[in-house]
Amino acid sequence: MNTLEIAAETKARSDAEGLLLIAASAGSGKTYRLTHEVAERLRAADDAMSIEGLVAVTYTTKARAELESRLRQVLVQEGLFARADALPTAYLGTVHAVCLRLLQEFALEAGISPDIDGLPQEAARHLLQESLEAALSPELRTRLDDTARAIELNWDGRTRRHDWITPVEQIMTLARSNRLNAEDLRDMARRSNEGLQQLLRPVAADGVGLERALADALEESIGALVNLNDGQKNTSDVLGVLRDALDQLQRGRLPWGQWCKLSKVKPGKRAMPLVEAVLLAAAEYDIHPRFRTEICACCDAIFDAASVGLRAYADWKAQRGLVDYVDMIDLALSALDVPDVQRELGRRLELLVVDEFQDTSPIQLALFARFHQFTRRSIWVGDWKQCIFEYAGADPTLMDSVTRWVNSHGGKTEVLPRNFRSRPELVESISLLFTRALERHGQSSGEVVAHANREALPQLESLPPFGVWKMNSKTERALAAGVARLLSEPGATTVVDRETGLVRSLRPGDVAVLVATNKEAEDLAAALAELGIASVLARTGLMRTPEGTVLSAALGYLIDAADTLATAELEALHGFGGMEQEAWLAEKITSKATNGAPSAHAELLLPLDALRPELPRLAPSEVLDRVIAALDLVTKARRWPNPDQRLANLDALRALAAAYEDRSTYLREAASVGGLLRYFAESQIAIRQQDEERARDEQHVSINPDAVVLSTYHKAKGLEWPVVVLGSLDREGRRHAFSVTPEMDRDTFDAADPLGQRWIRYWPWPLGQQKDAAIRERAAESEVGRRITERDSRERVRLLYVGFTRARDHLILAVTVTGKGVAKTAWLDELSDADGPLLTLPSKQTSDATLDVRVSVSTVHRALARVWNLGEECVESKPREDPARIWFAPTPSALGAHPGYVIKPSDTNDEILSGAEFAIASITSWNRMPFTSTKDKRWDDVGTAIHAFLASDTFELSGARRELIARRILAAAELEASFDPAALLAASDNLRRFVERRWPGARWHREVPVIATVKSEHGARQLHGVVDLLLETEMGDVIVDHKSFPGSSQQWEQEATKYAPQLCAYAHALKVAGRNVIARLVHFTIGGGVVELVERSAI
Amino acid sequence: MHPFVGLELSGASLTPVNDLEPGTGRLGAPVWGPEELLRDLELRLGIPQVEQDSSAVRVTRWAERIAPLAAAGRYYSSSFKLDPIGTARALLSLRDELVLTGWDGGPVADAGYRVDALVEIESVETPLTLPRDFADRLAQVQRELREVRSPIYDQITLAEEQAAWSGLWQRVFEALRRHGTHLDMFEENFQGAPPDSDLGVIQAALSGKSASPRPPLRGDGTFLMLESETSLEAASVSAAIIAALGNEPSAVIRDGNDPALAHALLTQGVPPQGLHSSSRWRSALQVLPLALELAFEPKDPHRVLDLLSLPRGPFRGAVRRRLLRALVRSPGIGGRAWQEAKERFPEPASAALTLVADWFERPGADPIRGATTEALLEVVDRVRTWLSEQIALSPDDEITHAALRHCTAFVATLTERSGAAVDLVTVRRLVEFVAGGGMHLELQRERAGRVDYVSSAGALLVPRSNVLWWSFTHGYDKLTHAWRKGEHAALLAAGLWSQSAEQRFAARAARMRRAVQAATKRLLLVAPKTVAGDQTAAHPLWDEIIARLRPLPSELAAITRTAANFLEAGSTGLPELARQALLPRELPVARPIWHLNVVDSPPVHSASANSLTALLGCPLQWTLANWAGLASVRLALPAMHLLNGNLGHRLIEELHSQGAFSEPAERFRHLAIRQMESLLSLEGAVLLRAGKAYERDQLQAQLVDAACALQRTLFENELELLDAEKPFAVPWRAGELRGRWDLVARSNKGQLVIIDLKWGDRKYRDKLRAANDLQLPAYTHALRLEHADVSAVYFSLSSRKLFGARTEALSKLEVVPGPPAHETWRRVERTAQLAEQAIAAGAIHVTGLRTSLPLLESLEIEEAGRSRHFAVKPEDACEYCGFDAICGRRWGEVS
Ligand code: SF4
Repeated sequence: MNTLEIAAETKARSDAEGLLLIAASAGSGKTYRLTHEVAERLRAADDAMSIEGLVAVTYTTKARAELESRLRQVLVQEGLFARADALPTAYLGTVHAVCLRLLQEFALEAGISPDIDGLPQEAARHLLQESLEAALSPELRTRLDDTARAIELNWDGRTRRHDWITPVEQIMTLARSNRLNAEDLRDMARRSNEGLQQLLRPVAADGVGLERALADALEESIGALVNLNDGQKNTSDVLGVLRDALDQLQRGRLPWGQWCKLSKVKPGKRAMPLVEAVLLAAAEYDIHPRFRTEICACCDAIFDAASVGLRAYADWKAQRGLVDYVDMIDLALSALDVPDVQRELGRRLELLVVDEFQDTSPIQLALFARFHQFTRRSIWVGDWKQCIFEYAGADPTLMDSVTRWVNSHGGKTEVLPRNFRSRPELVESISLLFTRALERHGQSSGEVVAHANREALPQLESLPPFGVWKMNSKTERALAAGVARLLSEPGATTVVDRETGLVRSLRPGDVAVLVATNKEAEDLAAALAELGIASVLARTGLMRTPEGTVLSAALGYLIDAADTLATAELEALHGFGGMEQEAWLAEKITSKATNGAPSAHAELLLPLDALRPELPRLAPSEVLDRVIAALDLVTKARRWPNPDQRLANLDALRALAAAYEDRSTYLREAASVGGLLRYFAESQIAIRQQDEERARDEQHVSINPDAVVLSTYHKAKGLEWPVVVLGSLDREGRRHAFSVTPEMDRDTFDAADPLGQRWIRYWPWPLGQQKDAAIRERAAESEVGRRITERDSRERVRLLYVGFTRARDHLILAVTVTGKGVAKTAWLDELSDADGPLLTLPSKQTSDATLDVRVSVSTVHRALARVWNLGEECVESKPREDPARIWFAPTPSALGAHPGYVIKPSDTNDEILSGAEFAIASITSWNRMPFTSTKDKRWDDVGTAIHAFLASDTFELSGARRELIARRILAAAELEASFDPAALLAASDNLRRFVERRWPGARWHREVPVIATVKSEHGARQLHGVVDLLLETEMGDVIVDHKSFPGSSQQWEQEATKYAPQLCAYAHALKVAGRNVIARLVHFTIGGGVVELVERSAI
Repeated sequence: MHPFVGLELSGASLTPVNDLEPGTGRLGAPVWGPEELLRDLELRLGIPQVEQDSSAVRVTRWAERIAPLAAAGRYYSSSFKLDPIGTARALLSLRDELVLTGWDGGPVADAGYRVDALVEIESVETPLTLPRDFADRLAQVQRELREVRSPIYDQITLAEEQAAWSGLWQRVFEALRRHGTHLDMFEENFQGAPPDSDLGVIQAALSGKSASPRPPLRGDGTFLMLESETSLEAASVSAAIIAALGNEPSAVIRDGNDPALAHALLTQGVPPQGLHSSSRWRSALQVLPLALELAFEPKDPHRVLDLLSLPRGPFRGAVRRRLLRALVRSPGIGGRAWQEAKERFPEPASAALTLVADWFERPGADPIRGATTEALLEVVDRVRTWLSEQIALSPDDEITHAALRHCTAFVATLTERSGAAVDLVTVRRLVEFVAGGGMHLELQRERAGRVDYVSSAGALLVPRSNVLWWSFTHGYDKLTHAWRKGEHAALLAAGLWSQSAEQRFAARAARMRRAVQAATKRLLLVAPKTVAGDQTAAHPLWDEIIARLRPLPSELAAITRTAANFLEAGSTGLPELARQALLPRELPVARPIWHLNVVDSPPVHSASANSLTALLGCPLQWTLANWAGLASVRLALPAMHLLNGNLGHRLIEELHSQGAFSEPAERFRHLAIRQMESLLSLEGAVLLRAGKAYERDQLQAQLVDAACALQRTLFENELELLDAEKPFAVPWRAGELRGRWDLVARSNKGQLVIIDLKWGDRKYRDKLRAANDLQLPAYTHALRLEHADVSAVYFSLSSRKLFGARTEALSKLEVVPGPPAHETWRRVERTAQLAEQAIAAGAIHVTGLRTSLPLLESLEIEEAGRSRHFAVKPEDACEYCGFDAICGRRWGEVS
């Protein structure tokens, strides 16, 4: 490429012309807008685009389904049926799905394996670790281990292990999602170290001296404390710490975390002066020269490992044909640079649509920018205020720069300010509140202000738009009490029905409680359950539900019938086989004493025993399905508590089995029932997901109008409810500077290089489990720290925005109040400006209480609020009503007696065929067909070859062609050494001669399918067969069946008898098809002759 | 002959030809999909039929053909270098598509680089001996039809217009027509439902003949959208509906692969419609991949476990059981548990020992450097031999035959490859290549009296009173199209016909609309929200219905039903569904006491520290485990924390048996490192699995450090190690006290010290402090019968600390305050006696429930006297108890 071309290309790439960026606030109808924008282009009268020219990217598969559905409906409504039908030709899906499809389509052009498999996140983590381990040299591993141990990196006191792999993985992930090169990581380590050094005080020259000073101080203090012997527990604990420290120091080294700990020890009051020297000496750790070299060494080693890992992981996956989520985008970006791909997509793509644009990660943004070069027309819709998936890679700082770039590079921006969701009072207050709160974070008011589309309804007047719950007991119990109170007087909280638009009383399903973590949601669910209130939430513990227990016990029993615990669990969950549980136990004991005498309820296991012989045929997921059916768990689930959840969970268990088989696919491992059980067990192990440890055995989450919805703020995005309760409002900020963090050296967006000037900063925390240290405070006050705090604060405000905008009719702020009446509102207080928090909660529980929003220094906006003081004592628990246990009744029938639907003429055991009687009418023989040894040959293959020849040996064929056909058929069956083609021809000729003699002029029909429907006492059945040869004569039809039986004619009578039912079946089918059968022949091709059968009684 | 042929007629279909009244039949009028028609043509033309799937060999040969071109810089070169088989497969499938258009191998003007590349590959001089696949077979049929003079069939009726068929098919049809076969197209003439019914309104809308204004949807039951939470629920409703429809002429459209309906029909007592499924995970197909995995080092215990636990595999009976138990105890091949298991094989053991040696104990290849082809062929041979034995036992077993075919294909692929060694990743890919296609099997037979069904909407070509559309959810995505627009246009210009993607989608949509028209009385669309956990999306036809009708919310509500609606009486317009009232079934009730009435007395003669912990922790736990004998292996390898401890124990034991503790510290460390490596491969091989190195390194370092610290501690305390892992059984009360002392050492003054090895420390410190440590007192008691001056302490492997009650024998000990061991033991004895008495009297206390009382209280021990007894914290008893589903503790929240 020459300079001019480069300049042109750069210009083209930085051109935002044709790009419309829509800022769509919550509830502003963005999907509607998006659909219509696309439809508009598809139906444009003059240059309507082709449907395959559409690239539409959504954030979730659910959103994809919704967008596709709406698009199809709009197209059909416009009469564009062909376009609606062809919608699957568009690139429509999540960004990963779109990329995967692109890669599959252009794999060969992109130079990747065409058999690429998308790796789920969980598996990707495992593979990343696998490849990293394989690639790290022993030296680097030792370096990592030594340096991490030196600073007790990510020290886990329980396992007593440090952890360097987590930051290495995080750096790798971040590097990949920002398309950073492995080679550049070294420089990032340097920059990280430089930043970190600035937090430390000037280094001392003599580290050994510092250690000696500490050792002296320790010795002195230990002696003094022993002498003091003040009998205080804290003093004796401190003494233990000092002794331990001295011991370690004398042995060679004391971890820095211990230095830090020593600098803070607090013995009893009288002992305090005696440890003063230790406090001072220990506090010098951060000027120790080794302290800083060790941090730097660890940081370097970690970046080095990440660099090695990046290359290794790429090779690892390439070799296996696997791509993870980041690769999909990365490879797609590379594919888009391939000229052949560019030519094809340049011709094809016409419109790019991106939904939920605010959740875009940097690499995704690069992809969209690249796609825009092809389509030249794009619509990116999002709400910056709802960018809450930073942990998943979204980068809110990018959003601001993109907006600026669009405006300055020929693109357009637009705001959707109308709120269709919430009542006007809510819209107004929330709009004012967040306009102000987000101003501090640089968001212009134009992007935040919203106007209500809904009218104020007089029927809702009695319900203030806001509620404030002041909770003075344990949060989940008080929250539960509040929900109970809401539901106990449904008429006091009226809501607008979304379907009908009518005002009605509250139902449980109208209420959603939002909390910060899944754990809080689970605790709240338990508290609600105690009050008899059902809830819907994402809950783990699937394997420990009754259905999970039964299924794993059943699988355990199938693998090992001697698994007595599995048997006992199955029995226990089947009502102890109808016995009292104590009687059951007594029987177990007796049975053990009598060496396993079969228990009285062994029939419970019969369906499983019956399944056992089939196990070799079944895949693990099929075994699971069969167990569900064999034990009729669907009906059983209806009898357990909370039957809807039970039944739905069976499907979640099937999902887990499918996930297991999927995993086996991409890991290319065998799958077995034993493996499935192991997978079930693994799914119960909590692993880190987002902010909390969580197992993967998720229960089904269903929609239930009779249950309150419990959700995290994150999961609530995109959803709405009439009444929303916001919990966890006392949650503190979490981020700090000692984590792997993406950094950017510029604050502008460059479409030519969207990912340029990005780097990764990592400051390893050097003090083990000690968190409270001066270095942390200095980090927080540094520019980096302030940036991180600001970023955290912004994200917390955005998450609150998501929470505040979920309610349609009534929004409740649930705050914990201390014994002294102080509300704990750390999170809510993030809604602030330079003068402090913007929201003032009402102080009293009066009918005119208001929630006040400070709009400016002098103006306060007041919104009515219903205030409740809540504690555990407010509500009495009431038992939940047991739902009606009506279920479908099985049809009383003896299915076991039902024969198969299809009647195979060769199945002589079939009850229909076994009724036929026949006799031998005549035997005619001619020359045998010669053959040599057929040793090692399957006789079935001989039969098939003979049939094949006779089926094709028509009268019109020339001798040469007949021979050619015979030869190739024999060759294909590997029978050329055993049979001469001429022998086949002769055998066929013999039959021809016989027929010609017996039924001269007969018309030959070869391989004629017959079908007949037969009545049976169990219902209709169908007979299917193929008549080898049907001779149509003037008197009627002759049925001929070719057999390759090689025995002599003496054996034919007996042999023919075996085939008689088959011939009778054909005869029957012909008869009911209106034909007249006059003869039935068995043709012994090899033996040379025919046997004619007569039917004594038909089927 | 008059075949009825359609693109969607390979599976179950209902056409005017095969939809027969009972007592009627038809001759020479088969219903065929493309594959069946091709097979019949081959038969009649004397073309040998391809019985076996030879795609593996086919692709391998194609890859060989491509290799020289790929090396010379083609658009697919990079992909080929990375994945020759995958690339060859992709190119071959494109070539097959091209052959289907009627291509003869010659150049196609302006068709672009992809077609040019195929032309180039096809024109390579070396003769191409590819096993024939569908396209080649059809091409051969087309060629051989030239030899034919007379009509092959009298007539063919096509279910769709000829344009829907590929160019090559059209040439075949043309040839048939030339030889006298008459071709026509099926035209349905559905009357549909009465126009004023909901169904009639929808049918009219879909055929574009809506009245204006259209009649409202009233919810008359003729058209219902059945929404359900999951497909299992949907299947139950559907089965009940099918049962209720009785003898009314009905048909089910069975779209999708979900088997839920088939199972539901069976459990509801409705004659099932049969079930076919395809899977590569059938148990008998796993032997080859597992055996090949085990040809590499390190041998993954999970794979060994899988092979041993297959319902039908090379190992059976006691041999299988013993090996499994050994592996679960100690996950590795060749360790102590493994050897002990082999020693206990039933006699004559030689055959079993050879089997074990062959399948597991041969040294494996390095996974990166790879195994030699010979070594792999030997493994496959072993699998083949075993499969052949199975076939001899049951000659008709289709899966064993399929497994054998996989072996053959694997060998063919392997031997076609050049290069001496094959690495593990490649082996896995080759296995996937030959066996990844899945195996199709009939899992359930269709039974007499079953309701008619079709495999897809396009196969319903006759009217039916009732049509139930099972799994009416989004199903479009899989339809792929081979040609890009430019390529397609060039192919068309060259007379090579295939439908465009748009045409194919439009034809498919038309077939779906036709299925709606087939219903004359009722149409039920069944749309579960999830199918085996996968969220479903709205069916495109549903979107079309909504868009064409624009129903009001009230109309939508009238035609939508949930499963719950069908459980209410009088679900509009449908015959009454059979329902039953179920009695709620309680989950095992959490009772704080079980009253037992058993004649036998409890087995209290043999006790161990563990059994006593159970007895004093939760008598029900003790009863279930020790008296009722409930136990489970569940084929799970030990959890990591247990494995860590086990390996630690074994390391110390082995080091002791080598006399290493008396070696200098450096030498000791060296021995510990060596021993640790050996133990990992023999007894902790799970840690050798890929991805475990990080964990393994840390554990290895921790355990070696722990062993060294132990040596130092022994030295500092001037202790001489006498025994490690020494079993004991001493008389105790009426029976015995049994167990194992981890370490027994002697001080320089002759005192004996028992050192119990633990992984952690905090828990045991707390127990010592709270006087509820049972182990050390039990061990001390047992040794005191032999020696007067005994003390016992813990050594934590993770913190590398020795701790316990103060003792004269040890000068360097972290002293943990608490009562002396003999005092605690007396408490244990007192409480155990009362607990046993209670059990003997039939009162089994359960301690871990919300309603439970502390055991001492349950045993009615006065408060004042409780300090003389031993108390276990209930949460300690429950922590590792596996009986919570039986005692009811697990159901606290569910109930
Ligand atoms: S789970 Fe707890 S309460 Fe239940 S039997 Fe086990 S130890 Fe006893």
